[in-house]
Amino acid sequence: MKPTNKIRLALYILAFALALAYPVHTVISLENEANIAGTFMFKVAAYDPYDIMRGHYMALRILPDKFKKEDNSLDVRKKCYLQLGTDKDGFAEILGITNEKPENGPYLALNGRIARRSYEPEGYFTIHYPFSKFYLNEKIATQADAEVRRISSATDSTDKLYLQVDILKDGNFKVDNLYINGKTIRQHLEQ
Amino acid sequence: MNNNKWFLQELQVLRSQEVIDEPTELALRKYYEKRLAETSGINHIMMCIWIVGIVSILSGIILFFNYNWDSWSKPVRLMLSSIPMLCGFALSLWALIKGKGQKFLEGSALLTAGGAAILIALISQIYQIQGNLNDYMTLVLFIAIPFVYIFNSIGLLALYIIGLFFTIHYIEAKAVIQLIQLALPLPFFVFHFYRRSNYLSPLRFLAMPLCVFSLFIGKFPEGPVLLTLVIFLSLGIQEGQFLASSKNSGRNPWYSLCSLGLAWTLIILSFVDNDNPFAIKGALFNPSLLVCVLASGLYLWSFLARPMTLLKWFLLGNVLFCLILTCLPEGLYSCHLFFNIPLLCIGIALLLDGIQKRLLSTFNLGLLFIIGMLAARFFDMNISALSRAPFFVGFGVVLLVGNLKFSKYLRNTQEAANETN
Repeated sequence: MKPTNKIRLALYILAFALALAYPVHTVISLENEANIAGTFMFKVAAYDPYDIMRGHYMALRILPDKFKKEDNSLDVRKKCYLQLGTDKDGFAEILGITNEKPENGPYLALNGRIARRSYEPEGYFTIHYPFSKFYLNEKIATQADAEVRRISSATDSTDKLYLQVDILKDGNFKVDNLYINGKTIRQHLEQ
Repeated sequence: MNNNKWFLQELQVLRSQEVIDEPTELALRKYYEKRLAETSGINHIMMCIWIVGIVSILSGIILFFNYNWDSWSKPVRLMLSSIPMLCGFALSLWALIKGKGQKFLEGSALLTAGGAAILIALISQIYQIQGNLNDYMTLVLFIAIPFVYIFNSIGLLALYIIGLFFTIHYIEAKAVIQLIQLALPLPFFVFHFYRRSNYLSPLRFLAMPLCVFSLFIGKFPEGPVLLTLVIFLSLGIQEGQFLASSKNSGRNPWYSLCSLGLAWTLIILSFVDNDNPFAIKGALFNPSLLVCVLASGLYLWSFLARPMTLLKWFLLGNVLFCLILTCLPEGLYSCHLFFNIPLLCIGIALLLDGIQKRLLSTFNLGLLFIIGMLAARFFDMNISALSRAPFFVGFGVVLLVGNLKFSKYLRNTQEAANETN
C-alpha cells in the first residue's frame, strides 16, 4: 500500500468513527432508561397526510396546545422550557413556560415553537409540539386514519386516544407510540 | 454527430480536393475507424442500461423494506439502517488498501457520507425524533466534509454545496455554523486552483453556488444580500470576460449565468419604487454584510489585477452606484429609473466586446441587456405612456441610423481590403 493511502486510511477510520459517534450516542441515550425524566400521555386530534419523501404519517394536533401565563413575561424568540405534569385523568398538562431552564421536574425544551397570536386574549401562548407527526406503515395508514378521525370527531366518544412520549432529563423527547384505549394503534386495528 | 464519424466523412472531401494523399487517407481512416468502434454509442447505451437496472433493483429492495418496516423489531431496523454506511466502510477499505482509481474513491466517499445520512434519518424515524431539515443537513454536512478531503471527491463536494442550501432558514439560521460550513470547502478550491488540476472546470461551476449560498447566511436582511448579489454578479462577468477571450465563452459557466443574473436583477431593481433595496440600516452587524465586504474586496482585487476595458469601467460604475444607495437616508429613494443606465451601458459594452472578440454568445448577452431594459420600460406603469412613446420611437431611430452607418462602414472597410489585395 502506498504511504499516502496509509495516511488516507488512518484519516478515513478516524472520520468514520466520528461519523458513527452521533448515531451511536443518540441510540444509547434514547435507549437508556435512566435518562427518562417522565412518560406523558398527550391527548391528540389527528388527520393523515402523505409526504412524498417520508411516506404516510399522522399529522397530530397535540393537546393542550394553549397556555395562559399570568405574568405574560415570555420571550418566544428565545429557547423556552415547558414544565409538564399530569392532570386528574392521567393526561399531560402544562404547569408553566419559562425562558430559564427549570431546576427540577420533567420539562420539554422548545425552540421557535411557541407563538403569541394577536387574536388570542392577553397572556395566551400557542404551542406547536415537536412530535406532531407520527409515522405509519402504508398497510395500516388508511385504516388508522379512519379510526382516529372517528374517535377525534365524535363528541360523545369514550375511547381514549393519546400519544405516549418519554421526556428525557435534558428536555429532549422520544415518542413511544400512538395509543387507543391503552393499546398501540396497530394492536387496536388488529383486534 | 460523433467527432470520429465526422472526421471519416471529412477524409473523403480532403482526398477529393487533394489536400491529403492516398496513403495518408488510408492510415487516418484505419486509425479513426478503430477509435469509432471503441467510442461507439452502444457502449454508452449499455452502461446506461446497467446503471438504470441496478438503481431499479435497489429501489425495489428499498420499497420492500419500506413495506415491512414496522413488522421488524427495533434492533433489526437499526441493523438494516446501518447497512449502507457499512457498505461504504467496506468499499473504502478495499479501495484504499488495493490502491484503486479515483472512480472507486468517489464511490467510497459518496457511499460512506450517504450511508451516514441514511442512518441518521432512519434513527430519527425509528425513534420518531422530529428535528428540522436545517439541523439535519448541518449535521450531515459536518460528517461529509472530511470524506471530500480524504478521497479528493468532487462528487461529494458538489452534493455538499447543494446541501448547504438546505441549512438556510429565515428564523432558525445559525450564522456562525453556516460561516464555518462555507469556509470548510474553501481549502479544496484553493488547492486545486493553485495546482491547476483536472478539477478546475467543475470547480468553476461549483464556485458560483458557493458564492450564492454566502448571501443567505444568518437571517439575511434584504439590503446586504442584494448588494452582495450585484457585486458577485459583476465579479462573475468581469472574470468571465477575460476567461472568455481565451476560450469559447460557452465553456465558462460564470459569464452567461452572471450576465443573465445581473440583467434580471437590474431589471427588477428598476421597478422598485419606494423602498431603497440596498438599505443596510439595522444590519450593520449581520454576517451578510461581512460577506458583502469580502465580496467587495475580491471585486476590487479582480478590478486591479485585470487589464482595463470598457465593460469593467461600466461594471465598476454600477457597483459604486449601488454602494452609494446604501448610504441614502430612508424615504429618499427614488432612483429606480437610474438602473436603466447600467443596463444600457453594460449591454453596449458586451455588444462591443462580442464584436471585437468575434464571440456571438457575448454579443447576444449584450443584446439581452438592451432588450430587457426596453421590455421593462415598455411595461413600466410608473412612467406615463405619453413619455414612453417618444422615447421608444427615438431609440428605434437611433438604432436604425446607427445600423445603417455601421453597415456602410463595414462595406467600405471590405472594399478597401479588396482593393489592397
